[in-house]
Amino acid sequence: MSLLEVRDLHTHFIAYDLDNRLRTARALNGVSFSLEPGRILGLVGETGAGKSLTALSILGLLKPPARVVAGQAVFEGRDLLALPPEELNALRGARIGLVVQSPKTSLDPLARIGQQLVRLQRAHRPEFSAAQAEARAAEMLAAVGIPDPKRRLRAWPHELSGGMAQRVLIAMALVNEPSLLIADEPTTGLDVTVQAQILDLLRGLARQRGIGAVIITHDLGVVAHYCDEAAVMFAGQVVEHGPVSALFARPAHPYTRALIAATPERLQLRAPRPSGSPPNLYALPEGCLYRDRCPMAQDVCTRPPPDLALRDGHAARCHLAEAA
Amino acid sequence: MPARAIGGFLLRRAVLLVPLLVAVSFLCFMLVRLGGQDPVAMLAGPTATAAELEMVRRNLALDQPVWAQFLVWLGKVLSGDLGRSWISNRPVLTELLDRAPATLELLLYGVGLGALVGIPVGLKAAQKPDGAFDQVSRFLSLLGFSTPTYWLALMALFVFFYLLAWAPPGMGRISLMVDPPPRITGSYLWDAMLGGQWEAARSAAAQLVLPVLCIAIISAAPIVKQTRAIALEVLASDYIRYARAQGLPAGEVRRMVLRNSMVPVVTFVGTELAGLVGTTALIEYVFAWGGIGQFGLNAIIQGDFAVVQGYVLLLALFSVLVFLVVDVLVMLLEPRAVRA
Repeated sequence: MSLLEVRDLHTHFIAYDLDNRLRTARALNGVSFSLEPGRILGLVGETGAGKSLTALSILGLLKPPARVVAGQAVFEGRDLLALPPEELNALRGARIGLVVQSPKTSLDPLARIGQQLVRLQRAHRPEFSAAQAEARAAEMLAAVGIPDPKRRLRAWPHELSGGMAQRVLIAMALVNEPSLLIADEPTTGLDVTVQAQILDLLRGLARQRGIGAVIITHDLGVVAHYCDEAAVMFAGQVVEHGPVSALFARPAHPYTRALIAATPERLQLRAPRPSGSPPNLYALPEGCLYRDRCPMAQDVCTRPPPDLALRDGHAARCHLAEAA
Repeated sequence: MPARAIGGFLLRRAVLLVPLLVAVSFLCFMLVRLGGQDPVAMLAGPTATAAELEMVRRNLALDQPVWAQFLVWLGKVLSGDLGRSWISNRPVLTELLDRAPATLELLLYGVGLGALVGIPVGLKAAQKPDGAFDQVSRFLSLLGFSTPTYWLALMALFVFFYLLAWAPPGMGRISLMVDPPPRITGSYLWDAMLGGQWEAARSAAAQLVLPVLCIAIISAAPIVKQTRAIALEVLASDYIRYARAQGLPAGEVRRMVLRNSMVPVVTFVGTELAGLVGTTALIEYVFAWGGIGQFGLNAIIQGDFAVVQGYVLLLALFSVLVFLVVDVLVMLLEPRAVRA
């Protein structure tokens, strides 16, 4: 059984505009992917593709006017989207760890690192004594590579560098021994060398503890180096997914190909770039959403594309995938 | 950490205080001096001869250049001599210190009550922006904002004394029928309670109710508005979002919001306290309170230079002290404010 299976997730922003007309922005249009225990999935796509929104939808953290209108997110056999809020709250931070992209502002500025780690453990495991929780907090800091963890428990968030703060966030995400970790752009805003350290750490800890992880990123390099599986998102859909090796060796969707061609280490001056912006979410076209930007678009593309299965568990949502 | 850090901080602050107070006193000295009234003519009276005028002028050092006058004044101020009131002929310092506790009492109870009500209301309003509670509290806060101080005080007397007769008349700090208690703190209420004079204590408390309520209303309006804005900002912060994403229980999240809102709220209440000293003068006037506000206001009307200068200087000193206390509180609440 999959650890997490997201099926046909639709999230819309429904609000009145200035003329008091009800308008719907269809931000997620049928996101589907699955994650096996212990595997690392890279969710990749351009800004506005719906990567973070997918995570927020699954975790029940959407704020109005955003709301999930259809779909399922089955985690360990339970549909997260159908759970009552208290039960979902009990899973968040316990069975599901979350690492976010602005570690320095995501820590409570008025609590010491140790207090925050203890607070989080005792919220989900009331049976822990303060001393037990503190001992585990120190272990966790050591595990994420923070030197002198006992002393660091007494540090304030503002005393940490960005990289250190991100390590603390990882410690917080893992302290309650989750089976699923969601890391939303975990290295944005960090130095390149620190980025590599953080991603190495994330992958190492996930492997060592058998945690399934979703890494949300716009960087194909991160997916290629650190993930087992990849899911490429465009306009609120997963347009291609599969094992990293297959997907990078034989990208099937024109959008994936454009993305790969645009990665800096491969960038050639005349290579086709993914130009243009995401489609208007208020008025999505029929058929393939990438049609207007696709260099290969044909008449058939005005019909909704199938999720076409290719070799090795690799699939693309494109009429022309097989031809490629 | 704190004790030593705070000690060092207070020392640095005390050193900085000196130039600040000199600057403030220069400003109020000049302002009064630019007022255009000639104290010599007023003092010497309409029948004085030119020679008499000259003598008074020399006695008051008013024949010297303004900067020299300032230095003379400053020297005296430093030795605790704020001059004499030209109306009562008593030392200004004595006059002010006699009246200061009355004003301080009014102000502290009023703003204290305003904060006690305003902060929880602001926090509650922020929990559900545009909800019913928020709408009502915003309306009341706007009402409080736009009500003129003196009108509020007059209406309070009109309704609660004249119409309903629930409150005593606005004639000072204690009923005329009751002997004031012997002075210990300068507050009739506390002095009466310390001396066990329950009748006097009851009367002093009754006199306090209306003016304290007026100040509470005036101070609560901006405190509600500000607390709500601060709490909304905290609620929208990354760390609250992350706390929710980690499944922290609602009570724990509320505690985080409260603690993180407190630093700016405390600072704001401090500013209110310092700012309302002036407004209190109007309340004192209506209730014939006899504090320094009323005294200072009278001095301005009557052109009593030395008193006005002393009054302004005392207000400046009060503000500085309030901000000092606020800074210490912020240091205790906010780890980032502590310098190594």
